[in-house]
Amino acid sequence: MSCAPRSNPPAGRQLLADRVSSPRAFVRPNGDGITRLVLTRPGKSAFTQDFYVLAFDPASSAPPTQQLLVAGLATPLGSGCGQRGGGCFETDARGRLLLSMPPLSGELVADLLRADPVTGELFDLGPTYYHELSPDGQRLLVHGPPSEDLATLYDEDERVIPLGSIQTSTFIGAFLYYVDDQQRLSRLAVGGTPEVIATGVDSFVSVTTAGAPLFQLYRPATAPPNDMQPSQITPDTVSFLDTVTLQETPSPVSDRGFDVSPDGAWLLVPDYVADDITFIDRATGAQQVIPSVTTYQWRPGHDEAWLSDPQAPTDTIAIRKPGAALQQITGRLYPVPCATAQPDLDQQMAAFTPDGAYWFSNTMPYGRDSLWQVGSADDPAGPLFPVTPRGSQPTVYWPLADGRLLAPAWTSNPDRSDVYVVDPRTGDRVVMGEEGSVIAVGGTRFLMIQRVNEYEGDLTSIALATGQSTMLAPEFTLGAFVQPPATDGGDPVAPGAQVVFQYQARYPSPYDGIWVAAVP
Amino acid sequence: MIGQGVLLALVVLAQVGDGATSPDAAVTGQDAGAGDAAVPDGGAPDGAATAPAASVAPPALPAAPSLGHVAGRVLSKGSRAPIVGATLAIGEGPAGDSDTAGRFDVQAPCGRRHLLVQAPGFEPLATDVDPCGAPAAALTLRLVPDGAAASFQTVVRARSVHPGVTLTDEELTQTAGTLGDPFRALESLPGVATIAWPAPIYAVRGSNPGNTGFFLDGIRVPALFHLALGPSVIHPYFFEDLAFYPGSAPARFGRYVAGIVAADTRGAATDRVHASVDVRLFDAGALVSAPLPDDGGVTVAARYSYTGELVSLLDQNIQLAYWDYQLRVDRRVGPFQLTLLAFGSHDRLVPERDDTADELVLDFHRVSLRASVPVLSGRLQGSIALGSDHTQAPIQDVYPIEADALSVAPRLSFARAFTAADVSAGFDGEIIRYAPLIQGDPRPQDSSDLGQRRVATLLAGYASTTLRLHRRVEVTPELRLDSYRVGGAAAHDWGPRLAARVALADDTSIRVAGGRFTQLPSLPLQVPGGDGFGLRTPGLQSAWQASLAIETRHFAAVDASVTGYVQQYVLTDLRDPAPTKPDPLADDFLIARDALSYGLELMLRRPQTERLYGWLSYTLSNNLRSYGGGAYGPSDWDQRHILNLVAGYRWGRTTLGGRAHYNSGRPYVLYGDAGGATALYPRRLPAFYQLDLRVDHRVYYDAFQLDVYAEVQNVTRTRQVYGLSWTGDPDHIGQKSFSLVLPSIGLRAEF
Repeated sequence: MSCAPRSNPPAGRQLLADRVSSPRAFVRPNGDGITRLVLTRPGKSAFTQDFYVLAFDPASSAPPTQQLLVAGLATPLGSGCGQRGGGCFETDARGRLLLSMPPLSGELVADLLRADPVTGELFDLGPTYYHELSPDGQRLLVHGPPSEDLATLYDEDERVIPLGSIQTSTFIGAFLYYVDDQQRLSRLAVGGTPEVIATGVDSFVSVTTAGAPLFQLYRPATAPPNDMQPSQITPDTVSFLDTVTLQETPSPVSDRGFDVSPDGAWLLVPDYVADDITFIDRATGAQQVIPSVTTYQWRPGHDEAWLSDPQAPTDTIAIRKPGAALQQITGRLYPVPCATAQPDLDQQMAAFTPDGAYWFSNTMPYGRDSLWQVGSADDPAGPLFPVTPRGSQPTVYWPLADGRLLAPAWTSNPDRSDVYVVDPRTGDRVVMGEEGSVIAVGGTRFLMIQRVNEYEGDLTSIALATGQSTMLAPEFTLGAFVQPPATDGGDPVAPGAQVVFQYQARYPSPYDGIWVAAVP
Repeated sequence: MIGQGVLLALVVLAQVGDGATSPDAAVTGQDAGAGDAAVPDGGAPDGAATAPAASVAPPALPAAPSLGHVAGRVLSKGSRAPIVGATLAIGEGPAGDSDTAGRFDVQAPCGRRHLLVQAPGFEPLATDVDPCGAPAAALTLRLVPDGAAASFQTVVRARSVHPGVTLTDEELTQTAGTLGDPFRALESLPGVATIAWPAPIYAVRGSNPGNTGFFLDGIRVPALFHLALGPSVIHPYFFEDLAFYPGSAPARFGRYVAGIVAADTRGAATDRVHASVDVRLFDAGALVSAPLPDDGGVTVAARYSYTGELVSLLDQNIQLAYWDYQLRVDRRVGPFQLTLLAFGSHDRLVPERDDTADELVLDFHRVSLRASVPVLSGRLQGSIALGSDHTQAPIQDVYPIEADALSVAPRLSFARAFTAADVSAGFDGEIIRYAPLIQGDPRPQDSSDLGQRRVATLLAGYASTTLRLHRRVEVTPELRLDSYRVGGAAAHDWGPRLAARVALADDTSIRVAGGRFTQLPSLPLQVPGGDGFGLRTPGLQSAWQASLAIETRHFAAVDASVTGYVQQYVLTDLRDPAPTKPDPLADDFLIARDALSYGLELMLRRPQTERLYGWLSYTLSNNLRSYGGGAYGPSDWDQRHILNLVAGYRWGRTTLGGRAHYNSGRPYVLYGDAGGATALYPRRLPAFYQLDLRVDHRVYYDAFQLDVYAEVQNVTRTRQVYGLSWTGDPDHIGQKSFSLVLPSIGLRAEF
């Protein structure tokens, strides 16, 4: 074959040369200057995997080192996880992996293992019904099997705190909130002791608000006898608890289901029989009934509700602003997942951009006539511009720093999206990537695997300003992910950022394996 | 010769003995014309010298016998074709030969005589005649073709320096494993890989199936076979011959980077009306060829398949139909020899009657007018062909595409032979207007131009000369300039070619050939209206080809050749050979790859003039592709070993045929997901072998002949594995396969 032309190898540095190692995640850096990757290889059986840690110094050409972390785990990682930028498993703030191993018996409990990829330490967290990791990754709450109904908090300060049987729990801010079997709502800070903030509570729901977290508390009106039919059960009483002031106020509504506006000021009660929505002022109980609508979207950052009736023959949206008359516009709210929504709203479907500046409409959301349009939310009756071509389906979009939207959309195969960048102010649209999926989007460029066939494609860096593309690995990039930025809000695709990818040619090649390259 | 019968006076006449005749010998009528040569009993024949008078009476000589005439025609039984040069013998001496019309008129002594007629390729015919008998109608003697060897005409034709294989006559229509289709004989030739039998999809010398061009009288044929397991789109008996160039084709052929299959149609009959009707299991066809008044002739052929009706009987949901037609008219007008050729084909397949979105329609029509005139001691030939293509096909079951194309293809060539050289030069072009219609495809306009309206202008000029440098050395340097323009994209390429033959001995020679070839990007399969695209994105396909062959006829009745070849390509491959949702309109459907193919081809061929005929071909090849990121691997069609043994044996009027085939498996890549880790598992499909058997039997009647044949392909019922399936465990891979035995029976009557 020496006489035949040969194309260039992939860009960067080949860390491993094989066809069996699959990179799964970067290990959160610990400041020692070493980059660590978690990778898996097939275990002894077809359904188990061995976990390794691959460590290398990006500033050195020294060969990487490998360390077996744990062998023979039947951890379900999901098809292709780690190969399209997504994570495969949770890691805590110290980069320790939380590996869940389901039992073969089909029970609902799994064995939870915590593995430290730096030290190699393994810690068996035992049979687990489910677990919760605090948003900062510092605290872990493990719920034991239902038969034991015991929860244990593995706290940031290394304390292991048995919490007994708890009904509802959530991490918000500095606290773990939970309801114990005594119907006490308590909260627990790192290093602190449980603080009871409400009693007689069945359960609670945290309401995301712009200000202090607000809880809806549910209390049983009466204890239902055991033989009572469900239809005879008296509804719970509902109240609101301000988690800062700990002031509790009764809910104006307790006999119907309702939603709360993002700022907590309004309760919305849709009535699907009467075909209307009632807006109730949480503080005063004042009500406003808006007919002929059943669904709503709150415009982020604004006290506006956009209301519609999906069953109506005409596509009309009613915009409710406090103190203003309803504004009627033509359109149909079209929620699309946003990749940069707040962490607790990750991938949340919304018909507005996160800043509330633009809204999305699609009067035919499905099929060949589907057309995703964007318009100014400040000028609801203004022009709408196509974001993606008619007949295509969006997957997720990224708002860019310059105000444009980056939107992949597919026609016949979700793995093969064309990537459009559209300016919602003017409707100007360009195609920046073709037939693939986006790995990461940064401030000046984005990374995608283009021209995906089956599972592989061209790993390409594309400049957002010019559309200029640089191919890092052609044709056979099986998966790729970027190293998370050192600081929150950092640019994940900044020049020089490390991108790890798996290259596996159709037939065995000396270039098969795991590579690392710097974003150009 | 007629008139030589006077010599018979010197021979001893023998009375006819038992006078046994061939069972099939036929003598109709009795020549009544002997009377004009009547000789009185005991007298000298007219004009015979009388003996001079003498004083002494000489001894008495036997009286010269009286002579009569025997006249008639010698025809081939079953076809009414005159037999030229048939030798007639009356008694023990030669009486004469038949003329160009098969007629004879010989003198012979009166009395009952034994007439024996012999001609090469025919069984002898014996009968009794009396040259002086009662007047009767002229004799019609019908000779039965000899079953030991087919009756072939000797055609003197310049032997091409270019390496290739030419099939004629029964090799075209009776080769086992072809179901009687000449084009299917390709799959038994060296250098040809059949991708997945029984689909007639051929990859030549490591290229893709779409890299081999098919020409009929120089006109590009956009589709070779009907859908499903349909036959070729040209009636088998419309062919005169078929030449296959696995590489290094002559410069008059272009725009393909691998093989060339050039078939010539049979000239229209000028002697009398010929007709044939054939009925097969799947279809019926007819061919009529007749002379025109004054000059020239016309041939019409057509075929209609009732497969659709048969399939519909089995499954009401499926609709399948095809037909084709061919017409050739030859006529001389002044100094011009004109040939009008028209052919076309139609296919329609609806897998689900209620879902016409899946409907597949393939249509094409071609009509060509060719004129040839002697000029400057050479021959100037010009032609213009008009074409219409229509394809309707579903894409991803979502967006039906209709591809229509209209084309005009002018050709002009001049050829002249000199003592030491033959020269030729020519021009050929093809201008095609494509008008695809895609319903509802929302993709960017800059995606593949396969789905966009466009005009392709393909022009080429070429020059060729064959130099006879020495009694044993012939060299043919050639140059072809191709110009391609599709939409706003253009490309040009100079294609030098060279072929040479050096005779090492009278029966052994070395042949070398090579050159550069270019082609527009191509789909894996040729689809009417589905070409002429992609110049902007993948760019031109190209090939540098070289081959070296040793040929010998040293062994009795066996032509042997061994050819080594290397072909370096840039090809448009399917980027993914096993897409779950193929999308020909996507920009990345095709990708330009560097490719390398090299190998060895062996051919041992015993000509069809022998009772036992056929060939053995073996191909050893390595077909590689350069993939992205510096990776190399086998071509998706790579079959390392291909072996074919094709044989026919004539036994009386029965011909027994067989074909044994073996090929090693081609690569197949499996995409699997083991424990959440997606990976590629390159494998090879298992080898495939098959045995095909065929029997032909011919029955002669006076004015027509009836051929009956039966063929069974894959009598061993070998499973064809066409894919692999993922079971979740790379050590246990499933197979996708089918087991198919293809029978075919047919009748063909010809007169």
